[in-house]
Amino acid sequence: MQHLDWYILIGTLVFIVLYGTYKSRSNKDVKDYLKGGSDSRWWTIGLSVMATQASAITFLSTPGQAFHDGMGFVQFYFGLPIAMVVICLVFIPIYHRLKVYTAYEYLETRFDLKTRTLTAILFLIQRGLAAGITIFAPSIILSAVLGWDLMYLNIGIGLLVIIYTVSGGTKAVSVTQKQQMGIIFLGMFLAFLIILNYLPLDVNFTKALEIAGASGKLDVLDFSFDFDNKYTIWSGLIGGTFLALSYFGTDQSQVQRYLSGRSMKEMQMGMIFNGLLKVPMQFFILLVGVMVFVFYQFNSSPIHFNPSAVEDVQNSPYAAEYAALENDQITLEAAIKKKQIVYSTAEIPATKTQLLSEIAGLNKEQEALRERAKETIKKANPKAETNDKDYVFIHFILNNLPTGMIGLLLAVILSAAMSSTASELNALGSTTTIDLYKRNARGRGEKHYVNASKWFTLLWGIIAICVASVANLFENLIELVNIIGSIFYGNVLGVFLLAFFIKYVKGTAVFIAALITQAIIVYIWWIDLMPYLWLNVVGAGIVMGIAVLLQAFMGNKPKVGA
Amino acid sequence: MSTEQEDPVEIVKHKVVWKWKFTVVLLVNAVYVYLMYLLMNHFA
Repeated sequence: MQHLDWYILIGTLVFIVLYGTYKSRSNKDVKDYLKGGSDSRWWTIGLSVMATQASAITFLSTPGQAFHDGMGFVQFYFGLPIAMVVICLVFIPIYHRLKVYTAYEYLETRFDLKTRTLTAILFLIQRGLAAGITIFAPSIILSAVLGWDLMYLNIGIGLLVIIYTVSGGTKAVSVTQKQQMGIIFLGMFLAFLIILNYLPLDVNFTKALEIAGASGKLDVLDFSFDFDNKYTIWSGLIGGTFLALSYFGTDQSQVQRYLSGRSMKEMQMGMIFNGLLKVPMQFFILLVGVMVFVFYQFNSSPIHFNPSAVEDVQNSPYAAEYAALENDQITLEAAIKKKQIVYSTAEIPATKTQLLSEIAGLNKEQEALRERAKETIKKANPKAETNDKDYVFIHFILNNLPTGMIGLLLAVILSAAMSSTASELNALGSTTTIDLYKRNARGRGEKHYVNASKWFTLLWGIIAICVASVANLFENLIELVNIIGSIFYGNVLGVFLLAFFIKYVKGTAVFIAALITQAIIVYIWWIDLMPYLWLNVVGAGIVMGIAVLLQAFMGNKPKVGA
Repeated sequence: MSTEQEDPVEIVKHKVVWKWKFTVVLLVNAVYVYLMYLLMNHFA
């Protein structure tokens, strides 16, 4: 990194923190602190909701996902617009009418205190872990590629977020997220243009798509009914809808974003805004990853993108074996590049088709070579993480982008991390204050509860940093966060669906059903019975089924209080 | 929280009103998916 990169990176982060702290400097009461004074407009809500969901993992991991596996991951988001409509129709009117501060407040009226407390605790566990991973994920990657100390990165990102989130509450989070989303859109758009600019003169965007398509990177829709296939249109529409419904409807980190709206109409418009922009945004991020693939058709790339794993194998008895694979990679890349250059100037369709077929074959060979490299890494260090999807985009940024752009893209990644973490800490603090503390320690003044909220937010910030410090990278980061969500979300969503639609089910039946369901879902995940997206549907179905059965068995006894 | 005597969920459920913007969201996304499919299929 050059001086300009540092100026841009540090300047951006400092501006965000100072601006957020300044703009939200007065919080008179709990409504100000936790709901931003209920003053937000729809575009603030929409950007806030998007910024909360799009963490650094989105920008580090998604392009790498596309580089290796193509565009199919976009199907994961197909259920989101459907969920937005349901949330506008059902969840927002209920929350708005009840004037709740958290999603779980309603459950005490509908069921009982223990059900409210249980769902709040499930949220705290799930989101507490996720907050740690949201900090850890960019830290481990930046640490590996830049050589920065992992502990300092965890603490640094955590502290920056804690400063403005604790001092300014919901308003600080919303205000900073507008700036962060602006930086994110700008950075990704510029990166896309620069990649296209780096391609040979004869390779325009259309040709780039042809090259990507020939290697199977553009298969965007999968209509198969293969249950073991993680990303199909069916898992996206069904599993994705349930996941989005639960995440945006019952996860306080999102609910809090739109509860700050000045009216129900503003809240709904914010969600509609998210529903209109999310799918194209994810499509674009994946497309950036595909363009990175095309870029590397004409330029050399490492056989494995994770520098820590590569260092392990190079310091092991398998170094010579790995070096031989790297030489094979160089030869293969030279062959690919030669054919790509011929293809870029070819005019006759038959020739082009023939060349594309040969290039696709060479790319398949390269994939096999990368797999062999992973096997060698595994032999050198059985505990090594061989999935390098999360390192592809950062490697590209650091080794190919011009001075200034590196700083901007790092600012994008850290902004995304901060925006998500801030929402999470804000929500964790709110739920702890409203659902656990204030519910049991009533009668104190507004100032007391505002201070309590700040202390709880700080506490969760420290917990998140601690979780980040002990977390381990496994599989793919964007999948990890969604796996953790899917384990808990279905259950919580099912509780809310029971609350809204199945009136005769009471608190005790729901409470017991939720406990049983959570155990079952954890077990199903542990034995890897199904792709994780389906856990949302299954979890919701199981808790509702068990609750209905239990209530039928228990009969209609009058409510005996919490 | 609200201190209304009526169940707020029942009140909301009876007042569920489908608005044009919901149709727009679903239609626009369907168009996105269709265009994505056309574009990618052309090159795949």
